[in-house]
Amino acid sequence: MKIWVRYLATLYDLMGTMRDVLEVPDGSTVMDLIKAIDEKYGGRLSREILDGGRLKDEYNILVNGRAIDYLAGLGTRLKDGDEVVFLPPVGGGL
Amino acid sequence: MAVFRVARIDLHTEKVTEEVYKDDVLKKFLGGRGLGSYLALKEIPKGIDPLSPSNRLYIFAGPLSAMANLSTSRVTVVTKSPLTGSLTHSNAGGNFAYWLRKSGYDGLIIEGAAEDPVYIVVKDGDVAIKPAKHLWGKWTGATIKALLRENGFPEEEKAAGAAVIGPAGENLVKIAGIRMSDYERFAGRGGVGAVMGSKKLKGILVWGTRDLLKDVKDRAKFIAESTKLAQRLMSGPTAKALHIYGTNLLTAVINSLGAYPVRNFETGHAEEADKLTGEYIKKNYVVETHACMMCPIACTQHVMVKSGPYKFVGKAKYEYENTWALGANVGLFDPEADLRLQKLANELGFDTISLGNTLAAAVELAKKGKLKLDVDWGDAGALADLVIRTANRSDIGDDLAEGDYRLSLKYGDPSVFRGSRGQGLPAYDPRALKGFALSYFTANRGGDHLEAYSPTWEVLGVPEKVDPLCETPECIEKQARIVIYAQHLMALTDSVTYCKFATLDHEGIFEKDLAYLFNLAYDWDVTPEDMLAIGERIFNVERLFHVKEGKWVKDELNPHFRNPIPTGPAKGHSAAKMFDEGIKIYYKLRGWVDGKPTYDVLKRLGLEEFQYLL
Repeated sequence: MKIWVRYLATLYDLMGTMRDVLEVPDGSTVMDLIKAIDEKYGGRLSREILDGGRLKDEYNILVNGRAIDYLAGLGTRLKDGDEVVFLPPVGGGL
Repeated sequence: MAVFRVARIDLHTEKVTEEVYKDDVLKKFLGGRGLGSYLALKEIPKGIDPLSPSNRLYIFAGPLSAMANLSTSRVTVVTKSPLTGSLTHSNAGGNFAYWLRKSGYDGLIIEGAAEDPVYIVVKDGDVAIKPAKHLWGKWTGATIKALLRENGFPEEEKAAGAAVIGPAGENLVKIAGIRMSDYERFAGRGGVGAVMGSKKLKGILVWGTRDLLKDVKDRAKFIAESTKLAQRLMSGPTAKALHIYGTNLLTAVINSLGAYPVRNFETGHAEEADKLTGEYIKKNYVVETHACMMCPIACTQHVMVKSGPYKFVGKAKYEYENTWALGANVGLFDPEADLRLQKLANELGFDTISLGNTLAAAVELAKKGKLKLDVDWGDAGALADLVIRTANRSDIGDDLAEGDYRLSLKYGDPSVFRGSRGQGLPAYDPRALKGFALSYFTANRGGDHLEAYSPTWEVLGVPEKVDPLCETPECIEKQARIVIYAQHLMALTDSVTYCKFATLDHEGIFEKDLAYLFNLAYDWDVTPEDMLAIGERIFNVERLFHVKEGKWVKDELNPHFRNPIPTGPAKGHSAAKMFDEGIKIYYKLRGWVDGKPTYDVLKRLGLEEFQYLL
């Protein structure tokens, strides 16, 4: 299935692109998607955002606009056409 | 002991008097927004026209402004707003607060009105009022240069502090702001620029050599301790990200959450917003990163558009709010056209948020056939033309100059006004970040995201994480409680003064640090709870101004946000439940009845002198 991916702010710098599309097997989770991204980019993403298999506190991931904290964390199951956004710390709107 | 020196300047009589506020008042209200609101409530007569000479402008730094490298060079302007008809406060960074305090004064109160245009110069305690007829009509950047040049400074904004208006303020445009040095900083909201214009005051220049640490008990310790706090602040992840991208790193984030208002809040998501993101603009247009005086974060991004139909001369300061207001909210997604509109708005002296709200309301009225105007969403040329007409109040611009609220009433469709208390909303849809359903519509100055900034807890988890879409009784109660806490903390930031960006990380500066700094600097013995009580006192004083005016007392949800958001990640969500149920809890927690403080609250906060208003 096809997953639409976005890397924002410092992760955009790290990955060199803002938008990405990945093909992953049906039933994949967010963690599976991170592994697929790692295969494509030589492990860059997980080295930055994971610590011992868990998401570092300062990062967040959105699946269709919802933070995975309110879904099933890195085990959140994806479906075809989902948009996954990798967010670094952000703030400020003055 | 803290001492706060104010110059009260009457532009009619040209009389200048010095006033000194000491611990008894400062421990209750601090400076900035707090002291300004307290004096405004006491002094501004009920029912006056905000553009009459009876109105006053309180331009105040705070008792810790520019004393520590903690983003402390901020100044607050308090006045009766010509846009909303009640109290407003508007805050700016840059270097004005620093140079104001160096000039020998911590605040200026401007009252009366001059016959002919003037500007004020404050140099090492001397106040001079000089003719400004030759500057009337000039754009803001040129005005600052002229003030510097005529007073013996190099034409660089870092050389002294300047606060000026452009044609919008001169022409009493109710969405005009005050531009501050250094560079393109604005006390934008509430039409404060029009109040300055009504006093025929084109600008203020401040400079001096005062030792700002003179009253500090132990200078070396204060510097060492505040430096430690600055280092902690800079270790926070949000501070670092803000330094790299500036505020506009939010466009992609807020759009991803479905909270990015598009075409006058029609929906909360735009597929075509990629080129308005901080990531795209950084790569293509940012030429330098800049900092306000005494700020370790340095979030400001300066841009240039060097070629093509939207090129402009020099650099512009650009922000998330401006990019949204003059971009997605008017259906414009061309970054070069957007940045040029921002530059134009800054030079003419507008509040960019309300300018975007007003243009969006005009386009919606035109699309509905209620306003005869040949303009469409995203029409960059027509929008730029309208901006200039609004600044000059020429033909239809005369109606736009009244702001989005009055425009919508005049053309018979109040539903196109998307704001509260007469002021339009900033760049977050309260249906997708539901903390705003409470914070926007309880904000004293109206249309406001800075009296309680809900992404702090809904996105960043500070002080604790709250799901932005959750509407369970527990979530609603939590939102009401955190909104109140944030309203008190933000009243402190505007009164201490320091920047709200120092409150976005757990490593930031909060009530505990403030109590520590005040005790250290002035030998006070305040607790963190005392600090928050000051915030609560300030918030209640502002509300009492509405009570005095009999205006905007009860908090109301703008009806548009009862409709579900039609597209994007937050599709189907509305702000109705959070507001309707949350406001009851909010009033209960505050001890208010229908938006009005009670005697018990005034007594608890030591505000009995205002009980006659109840």
